[in-house]
Amino acid sequence: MKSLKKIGKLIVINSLVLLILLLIVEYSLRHTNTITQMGLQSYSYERFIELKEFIPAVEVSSYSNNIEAIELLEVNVALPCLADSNGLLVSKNSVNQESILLLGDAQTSNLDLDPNERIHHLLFNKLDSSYQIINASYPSSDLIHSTNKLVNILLPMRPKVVLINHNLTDLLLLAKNGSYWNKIIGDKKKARVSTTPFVPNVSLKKVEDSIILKEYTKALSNIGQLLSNWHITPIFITQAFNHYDSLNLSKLLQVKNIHITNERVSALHRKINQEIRAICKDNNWSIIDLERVLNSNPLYFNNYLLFNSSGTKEACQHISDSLKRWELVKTTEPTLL
Amino acid sequence: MKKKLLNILLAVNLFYSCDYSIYTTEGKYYEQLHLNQRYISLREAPPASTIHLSYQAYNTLTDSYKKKIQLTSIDSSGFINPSQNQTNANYNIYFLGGSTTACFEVVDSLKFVNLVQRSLAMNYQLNVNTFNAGYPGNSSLSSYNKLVNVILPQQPNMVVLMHNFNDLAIMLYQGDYWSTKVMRGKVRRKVEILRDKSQVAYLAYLENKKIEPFYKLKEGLNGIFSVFNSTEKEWHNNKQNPNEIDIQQLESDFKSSLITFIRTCRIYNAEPVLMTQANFLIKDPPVNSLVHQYAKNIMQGSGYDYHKIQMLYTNLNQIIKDLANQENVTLIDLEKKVPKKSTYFLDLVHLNQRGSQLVAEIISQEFAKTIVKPQ
Repeated sequence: MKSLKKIGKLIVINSLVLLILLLIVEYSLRHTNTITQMGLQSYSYERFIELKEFIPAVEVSSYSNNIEAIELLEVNVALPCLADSNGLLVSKNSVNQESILLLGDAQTSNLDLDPNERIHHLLFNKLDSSYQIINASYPSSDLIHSTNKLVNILLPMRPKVVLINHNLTDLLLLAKNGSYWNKIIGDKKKARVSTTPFVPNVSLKKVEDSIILKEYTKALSNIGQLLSNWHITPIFITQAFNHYDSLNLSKLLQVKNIHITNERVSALHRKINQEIRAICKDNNWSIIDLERVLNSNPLYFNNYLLFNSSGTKEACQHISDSLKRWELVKTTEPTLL
Repeated sequence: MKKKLLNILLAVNLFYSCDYSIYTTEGKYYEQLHLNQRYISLREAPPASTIHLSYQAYNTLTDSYKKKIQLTSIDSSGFINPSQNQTNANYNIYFLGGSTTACFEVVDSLKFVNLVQRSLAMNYQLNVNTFNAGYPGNSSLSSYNKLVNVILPQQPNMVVLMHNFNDLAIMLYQGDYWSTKVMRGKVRRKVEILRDKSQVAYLAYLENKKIEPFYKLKEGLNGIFSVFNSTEKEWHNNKQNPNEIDIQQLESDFKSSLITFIRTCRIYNAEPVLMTQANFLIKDPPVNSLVHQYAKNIMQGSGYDYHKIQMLYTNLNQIIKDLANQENVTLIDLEKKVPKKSTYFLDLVHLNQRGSQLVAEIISQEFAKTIVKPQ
């Protein structure tokens, strides 16, 4: 009996001590930002690369108030939006098990449309269910995010073709920072936060057009080369833009704290599209010129960037026609142009 | 004595009960939201930390190694110290690779990446900064992640890549670069379960906010138990069926990975340099060689014999050479230049102190020809 009492005492004392210790440490870790150099390998400081993707198998509506949710709310997500177990929006499985991949920002993810009106569903139908369409785009995703996603998630899927539609997000980031990366990578506090590309702590006064175009060109050439090196066909898309919606564009620039006029954004957007054409010509890569087909036609847009359902249909038609014309895809029906 | 033992047992029991309760209560909640948020593992030593490396295995298997623990310090940018020694240098060289580049086994001042910097300054009057971005278990694709996200922003002048054995091992055992059956060189928590075919980790919410001493204590206890399990079990329990491995695809992927590295470097105005991996993989090793006997034992259970691995390994080094020639890239043929002798190696691929010094000498000589001295 005595020994049982002793054991009981030991259990109570041990558990109390452990509990107090846990609470103290937990409290101190959660409520202080200071990082002490501990002289031991510390897993707390381990850095990770940001992956712009939907939280796998979680409804967007159930996101908590984190950065991802804020970014998504900017585009008024139409419910439901549920990514697969790999964070991707996918069409049904194809007959021949081959896939076509879409990379881009908010324009390509089509979140403000009904799920059945989104680009990957429409394209799947346009190509007669012959290819699974994987939409790996994500609002506020730039070319470096897409490069990271390609290397770490998408390459093993070995898609036949990758369609790349990046312009405005890259433009705004570069106009603000002059670079895809933050210069303060060595900062210990930032290292704890773990993200690259980093958000800069100091915005530059003015970034010259030439720097924006140079950085964009490098990132675009790199993703094209990367795909070619892995025997995947890259196809670039010039981004259509509604230059008349200056009101919403001004709001966006204000929210993102980017000191740049609407006119300069418009001009730079055109220049970047021109750059895409030039790079594709130099490297003999295919291009789908959506800017020429859909640009500034308010009938196709919900705002400055996002397509409405007519715009998405038109874009899809143009993409599927191009893919069939180049014989990059084989469908069950003869090509009608 | 009995009381003390009982006390310890109770403490351990309570400890694990606490751990379990944390993950079943808090874990379940975050599983639905944050825990499923994925991030790409950068696979690097945590910035501003010190790595403690224990060499028990080597002590029993090689004659050349005596020390038990080696410390390696990491700077605030995640590079192995000492880095950026030359304040007046305007030429930066970054080294990417696995454990053979990281050289955790050798003291910081004698790691070859550091010696190259000193040698270039002393013998060739070239002021350069060298940065060691190697990390154990990294494949060429992990190094590509580091190149794009950590090194390119720093506008490197030259990037040196040395990969072979890890790429081969990962692809032979997993089938490709992306499967995540084997967790090389990483301690993972259960909340970091990897899914699908990707290098993506579920960054545990608790990973960043975890209760550190609690975690360390648990790792320590786990470490004690894991002493009884040999490390090769990690591979044996998870290996891919050898018949399912497409060797041609494996070599093609390795080649694609290297070309991607070369072209990315060039697009960003950095000079790419390829190195073959120095090694002690000899065709007919002596029967009494403990290093080779140990390697053979590991390989036997994997479905590949020593000679098959040696052949595949040599093929990958050949791919490096061919690619360097084809893409007109500077090649440092360490495989050829470092003698396959136990004098230079701790095991099949890891350099000892003398090996590190020799490699530094070879690299410096090569760089002295390529790097143009500022007027």
